[in-house]
Amino acid sequence: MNRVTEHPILGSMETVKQVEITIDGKVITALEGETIAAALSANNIRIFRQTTRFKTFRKIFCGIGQCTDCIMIVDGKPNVRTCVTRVKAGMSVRTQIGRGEEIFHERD
Amino acid sequence: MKEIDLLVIGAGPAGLGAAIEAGRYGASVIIVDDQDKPGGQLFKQIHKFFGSKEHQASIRGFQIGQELLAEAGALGIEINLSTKVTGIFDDKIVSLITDDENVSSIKPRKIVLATGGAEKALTFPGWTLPGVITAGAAQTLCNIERVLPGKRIVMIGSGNVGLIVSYQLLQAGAEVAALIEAGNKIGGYAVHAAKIKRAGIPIIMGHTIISAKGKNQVEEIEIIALDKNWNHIPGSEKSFKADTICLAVGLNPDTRLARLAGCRMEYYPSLGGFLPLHDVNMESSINGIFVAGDLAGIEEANTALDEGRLAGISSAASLGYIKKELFPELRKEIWGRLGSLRDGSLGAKRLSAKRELIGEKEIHTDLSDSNTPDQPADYTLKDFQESPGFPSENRIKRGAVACIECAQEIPCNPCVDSCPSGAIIIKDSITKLPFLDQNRCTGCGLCLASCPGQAIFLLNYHYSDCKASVSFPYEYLPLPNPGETVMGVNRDGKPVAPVEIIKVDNRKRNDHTAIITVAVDKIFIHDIRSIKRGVRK
Amino acid sequence: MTDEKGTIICRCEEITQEEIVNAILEGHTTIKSIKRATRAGMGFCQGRTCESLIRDIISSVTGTAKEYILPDTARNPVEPIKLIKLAETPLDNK
Repeated sequence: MNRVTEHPILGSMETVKQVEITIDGKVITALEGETIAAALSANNIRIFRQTTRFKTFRKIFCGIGQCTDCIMIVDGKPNVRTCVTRVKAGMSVRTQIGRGEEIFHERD
Repeated sequence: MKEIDLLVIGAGPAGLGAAIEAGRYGASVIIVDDQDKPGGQLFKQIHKFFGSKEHQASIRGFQIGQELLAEAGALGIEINLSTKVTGIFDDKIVSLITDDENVSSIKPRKIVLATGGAEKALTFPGWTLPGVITAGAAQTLCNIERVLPGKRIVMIGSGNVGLIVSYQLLQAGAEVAALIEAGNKIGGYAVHAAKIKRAGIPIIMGHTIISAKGKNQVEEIEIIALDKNWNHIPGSEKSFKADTICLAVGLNPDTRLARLAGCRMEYYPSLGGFLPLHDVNMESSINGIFVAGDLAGIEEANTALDEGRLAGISSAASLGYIKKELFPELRKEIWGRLGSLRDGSLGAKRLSAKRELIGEKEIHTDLSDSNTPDQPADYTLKDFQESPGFPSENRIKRGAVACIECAQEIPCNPCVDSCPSGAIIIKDSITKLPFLDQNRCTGCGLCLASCPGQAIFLLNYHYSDCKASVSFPYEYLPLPNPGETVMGVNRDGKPVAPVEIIKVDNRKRNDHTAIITVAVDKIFIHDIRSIKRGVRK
Repeated sequence: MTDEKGTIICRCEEITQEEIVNAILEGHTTIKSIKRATRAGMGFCQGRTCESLIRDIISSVTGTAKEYILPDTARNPVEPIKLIKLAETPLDNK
């Protein structure tokens, strides 16, 4: 876990409700109100999608919803920008393959 | 269709500034922003800002954001979040979509475009690997989401963004392996660079990244030295391990809506590239459409805020909410503030580009064109000793005294206001170097925490018979404890000698800038400027 | 892909440096024309990251000053939205 629980300027992290979401079927813990990208990063998940053409992996790049590199399948909907979409309890997040037609099963 | 006086597009510092000013004079204002929280990038800025009291200097960016939101709230300004502008049509009809679901349109009488900027990229083989992110993304993760973007990070670019984000990554507890700069000079403020150097982070000048390697994510970075003409020097390649590469190579104005609205664009490389032309009132080439902030030229948040205020006042005036006689005065005041932010060698290029863009004669500033002395690649003790804020050896031997290591002209003066004895003086323009009146300085140390650049130290030659004491600002965890012995480090973060912690002053007025006092051998009074950072639990 | 030719320029559509250079050599010397020829800038982000990268490449291949390499035309809608939403947007001036 790589959460910044203590910070010299921002102080201790507020206690917020933990929620469970799934990433490719595997349950992980997220904090209510954080972005999907943050929850995945906190859980050391570094692959968000595989590209259509060269089949390479991508993760968050710009972090503010501009580049669309962090898109994933969220609750069945492809192309969701995970850096600006907040987690909800029970949310299903899937690695997006290409434009989202295929389902990614393997998760290391 | 809803009609309104002013639609402000973008709820960052420029947009909030515009909305607040127009709202203050009675205009009906709505702000829209595509993000689900207001403030633009202000809430990621956890460092103390530069400038003067009027620019809210020495206050941290996110606190300025909170104040602006409170002010907008008190004025009853509506902020519509998660709302994207999809189109701007004739007669200023603007189409919107909220939550990607609900469409609407609005007909404002005036529009302020404050759409900000987008980070530039740098391409190299492997730059699409997971682990290569923009510096802004790293800042969002560690300061807003409070998640470390990586464990071992390399920063590319030594502008203020690269320097500040490196520092903030360290504050959050990440390891910054190095900062790489292609040029032979630090791009940002020397005081920001000094902070990360004291933390022991190597700044590798004259190098660029040639590849990021790794199977499915970044594992290694390869850099190469550049010659004077920016060509690679074969054989100079170096590799090191890193899991994250942050790109801090500048921003582009986000001009899509300005172009859509038909604003005339021109290319100003020193302001970030193509941007909408505007006049002295921040009005674009399209009547009734104003521009402000990074869209109108990439600068700092405090400049964006003031440009926004100006756009807000201008739009309110053009709607008749501000008396004709009053408007020029208000405008002049803001141009004065903007002028001081653009004064000095680092702002000179931006100032001259803005002058060219607007038409030189129209800029209301009393500032003369500053001569731009060549910046040294690095500031040394000698540069500081020759600067007007450095006490003489005689004065140092007489007892506790402030030691201002601020040798680069940047627009900033909170040290002046912090001094109860009036011993720090900045004359003519806030960009001038602080002068220390050595006889007036009582060595109280109140200036240390006020300096946004953390460039003031307190030296006490007579701490004891054999020891002197040095006090310095410190914003890392864990804080050391009095009585502990830790390693004292120099301006490059290199170990000098073990030192004893005498005092850790983290009182409220310091706003989380702890002032640490250490006892050092008298001979190291000019060397020790910080301590080796402790290991976080 | 560790050579520079294969370096991606448009992250969304995965268009390489070599493909952009080839398009320029074939006579596509504007951002708009390269977009049509290669799809660079046509993806989800609509060229927000690659437009200035492409400008740099055009400038270095053709020698044209960057100020003459104009941005692509912006059109309604500037944000990707579903066509049904576009159709629903009330734009009559009432």
